[in-house]
Amino acid sequence: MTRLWVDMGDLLSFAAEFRRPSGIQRVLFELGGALRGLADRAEPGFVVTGAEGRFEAIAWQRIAETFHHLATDTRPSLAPRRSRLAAALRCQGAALLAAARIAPALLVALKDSQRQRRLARSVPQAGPMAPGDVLLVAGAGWAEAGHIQRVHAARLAGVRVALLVHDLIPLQRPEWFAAHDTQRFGAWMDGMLDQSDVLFTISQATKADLVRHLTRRGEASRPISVVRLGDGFPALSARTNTNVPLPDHSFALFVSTIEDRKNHALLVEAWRRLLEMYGPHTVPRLILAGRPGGQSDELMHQLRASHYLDGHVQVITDASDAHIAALYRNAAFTVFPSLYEGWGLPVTESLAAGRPCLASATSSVPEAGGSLARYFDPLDLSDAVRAISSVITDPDGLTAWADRISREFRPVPWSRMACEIWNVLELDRRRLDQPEA
Amino acid sequence: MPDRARAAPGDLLLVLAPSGDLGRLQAKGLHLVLALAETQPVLRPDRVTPQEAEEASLWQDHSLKIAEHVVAFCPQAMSWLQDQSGITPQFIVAASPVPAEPARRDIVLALGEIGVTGATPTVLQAWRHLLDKLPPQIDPARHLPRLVLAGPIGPLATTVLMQMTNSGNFGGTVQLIADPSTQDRARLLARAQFCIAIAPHEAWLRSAGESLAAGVACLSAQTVSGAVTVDPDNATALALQISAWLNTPPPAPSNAARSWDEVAADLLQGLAP
Repeated sequence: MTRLWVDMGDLLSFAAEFRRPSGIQRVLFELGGALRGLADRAEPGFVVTGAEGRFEAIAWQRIAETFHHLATDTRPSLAPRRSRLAAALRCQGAALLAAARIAPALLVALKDSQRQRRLARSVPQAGPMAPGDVLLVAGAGWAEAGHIQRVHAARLAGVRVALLVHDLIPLQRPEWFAAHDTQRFGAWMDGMLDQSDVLFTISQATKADLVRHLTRRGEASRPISVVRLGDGFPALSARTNTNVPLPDHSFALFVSTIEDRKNHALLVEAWRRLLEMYGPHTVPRLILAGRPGGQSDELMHQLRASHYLDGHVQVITDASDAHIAALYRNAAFTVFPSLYEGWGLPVTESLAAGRPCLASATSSVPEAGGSLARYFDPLDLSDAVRAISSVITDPDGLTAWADRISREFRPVPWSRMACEIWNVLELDRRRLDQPEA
Repeated sequence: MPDRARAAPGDLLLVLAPSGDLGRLQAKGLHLVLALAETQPVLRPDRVTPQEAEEASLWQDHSLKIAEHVVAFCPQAMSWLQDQSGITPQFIVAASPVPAEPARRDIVLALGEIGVTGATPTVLQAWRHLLDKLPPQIDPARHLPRLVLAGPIGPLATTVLMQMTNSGNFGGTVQLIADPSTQDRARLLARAQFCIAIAPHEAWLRSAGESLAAGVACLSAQTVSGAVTVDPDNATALALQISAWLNTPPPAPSNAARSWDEVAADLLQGLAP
């Protein structure tokens, strides 16, 4: 029997640096849990980076404890050291920005070079994995030092590699990321594509981006399987405390890190127009639930200078998952104007909570929302205002929309995603087992 | 050395920007003519520093109270003055000097303040939209003309500057020229296939005026004779318009070549008793 190993290193290294999980860590945890449900078929095991810099097995219990700690921590975010450094440098003008861009890249190159030399001296090892086993990489491996070398070592030892691609946004939209992060991501992605035997993406849109990237690399087409993410985070919500503070007024909700890619600026401008059009008593408050992230300084300045549109915009940072879940359940509706996504978790979370979602009509977002969400062009302020106006001026229509979601939304279980991945891996194994004609 | 100009009682003093003690000058018998160059600090204080917003608001309130004539160079400033102050200003169609002879038309020129105030994010979003539409085998830097962003660096420009750095100037397809001189602007216009001037609060319409005066077709955020009006908050529509003009070059505008001498003559004629 083929044994499936899931690389959970990203989750643990993320937890060592941050206090709240991002979408990829949530997906990794839920997928890992669902794959455990295939124990009779897949015999899944989990690996992380050990003290020797090689893969080693880890018990699920430890992974679950780590994730639970991440999901329930409500202390203010502790920005990682490199982000604080970048924030400080942003204030120092173009010259320092250029210096900051070059220095980390040099450091990364130096460290990678050292790692390569160490690896060349070592015998390829795959930790607990045996030849013929499959290693599924579904996390943000680019953020882990030496990850690509570990995968390479495993492959040299006969392990087959499957890669789940969430998105290629740093390559599609490098303007949103520090240059050294884009370089790191690009090098990791190309390395993984070189070493992967099986490719998955989480949406058709990401598949199209991956095909485009492969074409740029001069590669002929390769099989790519799209596996839909599960909906909601049941393993977590079953354990969370729901006693959290909620606004005492009607509100619209946007859950996301505050950054340029997520397009908060458009939404705040839309709210400004809506307030001018309908007045403060008709327009619900806008709650932005998320930490200020990259390229958010100007928006935060504008919010402060306008006194958060005279109190009509509220920013909630560091909400726990229970708090976020309660906000979803109590929102009049949600908004998701993101400019680029690999999937669109906040859209499906909104629908899973029974709340209507007005979402961006771009990239993968319509795949996530299907026919139950409504869409607008995230590059067109007037279209966003039109879409939101149609909701706030028609309370009966909003209620009917919410009722339709309650009737028709069928959450996709994470087990389905796990099964789809396993089925593709099985097909791949059978293809390998067949003698060549 | 030429003699210093001396204002005499009864002269007109044209005030273009916050300056000096206007009340004292008025007390000396000068007639104040206020020409609003910039409505942004008052209309959108969130886009400037609190100090700039407060100073602009105080100065504008005070100036509007004591000015004997008010002039607007664009419809937006005119309607704002009418709505907020009850003043109907004299309207002057502004333009600029005609630059040198056209040379090779190899750039798309975006004129205006760099940053949120100049709608640069919309321009870059539209440009990215165009880059995305190109087949992956095509090198955008060879296929598209270069987009040149030319203007002073505005107060909310950090994100734009970071994005330029992060993306390697959008794969080498975008160039930033900060604080271009009048001569630089004229040279750039001479190379421009067309001009994008969509700063929403540029009350003098300097960029659109310069473009049209240079015989360069222009996309403007405001209704300007000879220019095509676009919504500065709609990058999709802007991308479509840019794409259309890249595929089919627009005809040169024919009716907008006005010099600043003509503008000045209009102004004086309007102020004549």
